[in-house]
Amino acid sequence: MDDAAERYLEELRRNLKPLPEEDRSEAVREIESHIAEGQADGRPTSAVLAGLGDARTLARAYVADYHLRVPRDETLGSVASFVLSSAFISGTGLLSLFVVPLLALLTSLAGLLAIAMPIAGVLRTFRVPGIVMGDAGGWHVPILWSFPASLVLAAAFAVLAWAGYKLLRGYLRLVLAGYRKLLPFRSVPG
Amino acid sequence: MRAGEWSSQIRRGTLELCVLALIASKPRYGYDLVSALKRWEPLATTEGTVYPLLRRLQREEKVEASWEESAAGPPRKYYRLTPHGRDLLERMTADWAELSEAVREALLTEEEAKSHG
Repeated sequence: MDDAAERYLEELRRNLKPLPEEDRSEAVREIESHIAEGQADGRPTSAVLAGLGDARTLARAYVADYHLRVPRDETLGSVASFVLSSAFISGTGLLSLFVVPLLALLTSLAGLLAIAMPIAGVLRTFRVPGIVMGDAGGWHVPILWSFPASLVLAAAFAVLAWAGYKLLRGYLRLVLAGYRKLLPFRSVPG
Repeated sequence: MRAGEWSSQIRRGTLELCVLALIASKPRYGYDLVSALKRWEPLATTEGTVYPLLRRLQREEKVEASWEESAAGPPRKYYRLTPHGRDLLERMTADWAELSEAVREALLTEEEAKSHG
């Protein structure tokens, strides 16, 4: 094995992460064997690797296939798994009803505010009336500092929007992964 | 390139049939299989695509595999058809013959219509 081959196998291994360890090392071992056969065949390593195609694409083919696997027939068979599935579906369903709109609202609101803040800052710099920057105790941000202060606020809202988006995405992923496990997928040919 | 995508889909579907047929003739390891497929230009796929396919065929118990030492070089993973795989190959072969015959006739009919009118 030379450097290029090692790098290819390492890249493949890294991208096969969603697979169980056993499948992962089996796949890497077989591709390693393929590369060695190609080299023994007198082909340059670069040609063998080019023939295999991009390591990430190859890994994706393995992983995509893994998700389409034929499930064990007892997926919904036993009472225990039936109860668990029902609890999971109704539990996440109920939870999603609150979590998803709340996070979506938070994200879009924070995003809008992050855009609106600098605009308000500029307007206040030009003494447009009706824009208050200060606390209830009567302290106000000096007019000249309106724009920098608004930028700080905008950054805070942007962070909030980003966090909301990440949370929502993570939550959806988690729930979808759960559903994927439950669904009685049949293998799709090809 | 509409035809390009279309023909790559056809190839993907028929690759499974060809792989099963090649394994049926004798136990084969991946590299051997890839080299065998290269003999026919339309079947020569990216070599990598054969391996995830083999993995799936093994999981679906259409083929079984075992690692064997080779005289020179690294161990090889040999694939053989299971009885289930053999049944499947028979049915797929029959389906393929039927399908290709039907397509041939359909294309012929179209040719005739063109020349008559």
